[in-house]
Amino acid sequence: MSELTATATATDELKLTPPDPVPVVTPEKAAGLVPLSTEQKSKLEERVDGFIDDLVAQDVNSPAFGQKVDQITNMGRKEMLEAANQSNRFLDRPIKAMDRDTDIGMNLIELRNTVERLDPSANGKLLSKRGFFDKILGNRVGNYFAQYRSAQTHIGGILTALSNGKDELLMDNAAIDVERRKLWEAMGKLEQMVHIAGTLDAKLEAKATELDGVDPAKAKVLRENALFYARQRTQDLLTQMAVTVQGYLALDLVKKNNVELVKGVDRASTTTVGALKTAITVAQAMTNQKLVLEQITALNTTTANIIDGTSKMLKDNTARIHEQAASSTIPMETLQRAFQNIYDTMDAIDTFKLKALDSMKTTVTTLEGEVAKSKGYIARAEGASQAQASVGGADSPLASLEG
Amino acid sequence: MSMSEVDKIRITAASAIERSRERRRPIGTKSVALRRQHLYKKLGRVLIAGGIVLIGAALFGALIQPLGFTGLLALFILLIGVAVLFGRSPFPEPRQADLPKADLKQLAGRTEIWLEAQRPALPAPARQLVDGIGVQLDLLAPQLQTLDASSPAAANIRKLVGEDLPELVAGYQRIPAGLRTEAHAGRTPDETLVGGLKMLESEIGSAARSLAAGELDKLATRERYLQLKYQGIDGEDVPVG
Repeated sequence: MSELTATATATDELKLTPPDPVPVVTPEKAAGLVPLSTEQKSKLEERVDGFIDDLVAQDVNSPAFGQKVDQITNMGRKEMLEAANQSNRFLDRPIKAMDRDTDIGMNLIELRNTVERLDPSANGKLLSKRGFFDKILGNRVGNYFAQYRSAQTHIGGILTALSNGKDELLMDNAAIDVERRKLWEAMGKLEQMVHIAGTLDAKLEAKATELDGVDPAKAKVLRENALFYARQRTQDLLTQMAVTVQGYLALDLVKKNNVELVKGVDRASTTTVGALKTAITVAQAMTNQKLVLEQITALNTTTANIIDGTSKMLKDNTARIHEQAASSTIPMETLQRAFQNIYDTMDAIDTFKLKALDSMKTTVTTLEGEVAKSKGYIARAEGASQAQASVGGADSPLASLEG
Repeated sequence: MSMSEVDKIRITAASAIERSRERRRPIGTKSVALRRQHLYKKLGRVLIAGGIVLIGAALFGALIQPLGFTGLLALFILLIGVAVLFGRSPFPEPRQADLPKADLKQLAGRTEIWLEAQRPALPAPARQLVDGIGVQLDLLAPQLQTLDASSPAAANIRKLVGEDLPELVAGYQRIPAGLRTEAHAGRTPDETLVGGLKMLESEIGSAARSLAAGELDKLATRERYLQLKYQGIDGEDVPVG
């Protein structure tokens, strides 16, 4: 039996692994995920040094000092906004992906229904042994295979719809890749701001300690004012970073999900075309009549263009089925196996989709929570920037990386 | 005193011409395009009106009575009159109050024209910035042609280009010329104007870039899609029998 199955199936078992849901990324762990070069780091630290020197040189009661402190609260505003704008879009993605899955699911269900009608096992005992009943049953077999002719256009339509769906999945993945490239860039900028904020924190602390003996009043203002805002800002930046990282991972999840689904669609098309091919050969062996399915040849070429290796597989397969159908005493079993193949594929896709949907939903829920959290921080950042604008914002070395 | 009176006059005249040229120098291509469009429309109207007069004269001459010398003279005067009447309509210079209501497609060009008119009255560093803003507006203009006027992005740009920018420049001009270099709360109006214009230049530039971002993304996505479909790179493994 194993040999028969192996030749009839001709492909190894289809395994579709749903990706795990994206875990919550804590702000503490968010920093350091995008590597910065030492050169970049020293450049950023230089900027912080210059800023602190400037800050300490000012009289604590002067508006210039206040302006400098405002610059701290405004630090990385642009980077945060940029990353936040993206986060709205990566929430869209998993939701859209779930919709698309439904579309493809509908096509698969339709394919299954059509194929079930053609299933030899559902058509009663067609033939188990050649012999006496050949003549009487031959007619029934002929009727059975006649169904293929009426079904071929329908199956062709479904397969085309599936291949369109697959193209959409690929397009989706292409868009995700582009988005991920941009997100990576945004994360790099955020990382730099996080580094600036961290350095500022450490250096302000050191400066305050240094001033403790010389000018305790100034040291106090530095701690209560500048250092406080620097820490608050660091927290904001880290939160945004965490959300962005999580979004980045969520996009990866959608992408992996799509890749698996593409595999499933490919396999469903391949097994269907394979079963139809088998039917052609089996019909020939059993009824000694040529079952003409013009569309199968056409399907073969179209699907082969889309699915790598399909045509090769089908060619090998056909030769083997021919051989088998000619030699085997029970060619109908070969056909049944070909149908079982389609069902297996669809079951695998169904199981996959159920699990993937779970992962996706979990991810969307966590992501929504995190994005909502980060929105609060963005609002705070916006408030600070408006306050600064009313002061008459000067060009800040910390406000943006482009400055 | 080697320079003759004529030379002196010639030099003054040349520098006056230079000044006026500098005065009305276009800061972007869109303002030039709008002016040219207006000129062509005007020319078209003059030609059509002249044509109608000529046809009328021909019909009169053929059907009623020959024109004769007086008729020809009258025709001549009529043609000149028509040319003056239709050719005189000057370019409708946009006023600040009109800019926020301008058609989105023409917004960039109209703001450019308005800025060109204000440019001579601005201090030198601001004039340079105005030129820079012209470049950014040119960058923005093609995208405004296809932008949906009711979208938030359109409202944003209308506010930025049609309101914020003119209001800054007009606000500066409302300050008496003598006070513009005097410090007020630490900053002179000149400095404030330059600071504001710098901000606007970079904002208009980034608005143009973010509007183009959608198209840039689409192009990159299409390329990636072709890669995924025909090269199957990046773990895009398809079952091979």
